[in-house]
Amino acid sequence: MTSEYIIPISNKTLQGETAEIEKCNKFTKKMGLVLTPNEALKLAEANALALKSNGRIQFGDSTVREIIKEFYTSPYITKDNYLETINYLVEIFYFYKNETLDLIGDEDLIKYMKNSFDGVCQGSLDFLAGNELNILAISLRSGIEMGTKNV
Amino acid sequence: MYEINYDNIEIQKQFMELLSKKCQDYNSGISNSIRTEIAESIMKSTFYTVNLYFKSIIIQEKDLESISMPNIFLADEKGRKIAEKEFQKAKQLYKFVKKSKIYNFNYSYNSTLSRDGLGIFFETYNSTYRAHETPASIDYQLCIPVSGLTGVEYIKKYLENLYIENQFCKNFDDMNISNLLFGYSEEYEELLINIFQKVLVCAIGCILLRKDIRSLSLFYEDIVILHNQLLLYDIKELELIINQAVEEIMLFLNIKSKKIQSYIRLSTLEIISDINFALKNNSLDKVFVESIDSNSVQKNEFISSPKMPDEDYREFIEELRSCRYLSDKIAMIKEKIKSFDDLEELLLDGELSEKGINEITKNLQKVEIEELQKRKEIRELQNQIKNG
Repeated sequence: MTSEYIIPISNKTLQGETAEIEKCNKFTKKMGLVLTPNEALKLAEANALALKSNGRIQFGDSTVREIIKEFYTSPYITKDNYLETINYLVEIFYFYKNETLDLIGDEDLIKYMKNSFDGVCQGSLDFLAGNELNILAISLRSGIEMGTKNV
Repeated sequence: MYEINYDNIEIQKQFMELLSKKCQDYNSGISNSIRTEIAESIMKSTFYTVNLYFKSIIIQEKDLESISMPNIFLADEKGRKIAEKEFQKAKQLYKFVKKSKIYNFNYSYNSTLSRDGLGIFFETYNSTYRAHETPASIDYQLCIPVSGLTGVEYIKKYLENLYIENQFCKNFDDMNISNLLFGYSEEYEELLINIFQKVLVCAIGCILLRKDIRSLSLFYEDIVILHNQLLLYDIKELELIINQAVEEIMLFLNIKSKKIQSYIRLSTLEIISDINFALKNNSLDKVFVESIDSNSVQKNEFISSPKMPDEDYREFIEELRSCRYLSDKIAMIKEKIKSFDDLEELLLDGELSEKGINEITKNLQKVEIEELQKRKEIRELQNQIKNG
């Protein structure tokens, strides 16, 4: 019975999620970053897929929106790579939510990702996913306190 | 009992809102997503507490209409309060059960009552997010198992039944109970047995034989008499006789509690069936067991004399293998082998024929043969010889 009720949560939020993502255009357009309704839908679908593949469900505000809000000012994001970058960031976000055993909040994780992405990673998503976030996950799991400069 | 219509869209919506709120609370509001298994657990917990609330209220037919759209938030809150109350009751019961504990060496009984058994539940139970779970290590089997319940309801019912069983057993001396269990099996400490049932069966036997119930002592002759006596009855008469015996036991032990009385009566049903089955299969001694004082049983421990040094042993084996005649080999073994452990190795290493092995073992004492049989390698050797 539980699974029957869990699944509709993600279906129900797909339309809402798309609308939320589209709303981001209001503040991202000043950086020249605009998503078409179709692209917003693609991101919403990618979000649902990332949630599913990482065994998670979303119940609160749009995580994609939060990621866009944090990352749209990054010098490494252009209108050419905007969609792909956000897409990948969403994927690694959920992956590392699990890897960090939910020990870090959404806001802190997104901020850490942004600082690393703009800083040591110099816009490399692979370095962010394979190195920086991995170090964070290991540190959190083993109880080692990370420096506060990034988080 | 009122049953919620889970297909109702409005009820589903309320459940979703409640789940969303609970998930946010679970994350302390710092995360917008949660792992599916945690969400499922929270959902199950919510179903559990809501059902707990509706189970607790008696609804008049006239009120059914007004409750057709129940407030799930309120039901969950009240259900959690009920779960908390039940938890406190169970905790108190756990204390009573520990106080009424029977002193014996049965591992499953003792471990279940320990902090690492039922104790885990009282340290980890969470009525908000995991109310439906039963985090406890329970190995001890009750005479009447608890079924169809989970969470705090299960634990409370389990403890209630266990307390009843303990209270009944407290009418008997712990030593008598231990002797009874030892009579059932020398390894009773390791077995998953129900102590109450064994005691009740023995008490029934004692009543039928007009023996002292409290002694819980039946002997082999008693069981033979019981067999001959009970064999005369058909199932209806048997039921009557056993039920009468149970009533006599309760009267004799002055058991007035209705709960204990009804538990004993309910337990008797299985006992009657066991007795009936045993009578048909001529195995009544498996139901009514002989009481044996564990202290009076002498335990034999086999100790072998020291083995010969490895170097000497190797030389001896070489010499033995090179020897042609069996009679000479036997003579050599008799002369050189003084230790039981050496003999065991010799049987394995000496490349002796079946005749040779028989020749050596025929002079062994019974206890030595028994000890040899216990050793795995020797058993394997025996099988090899049997299979050619």
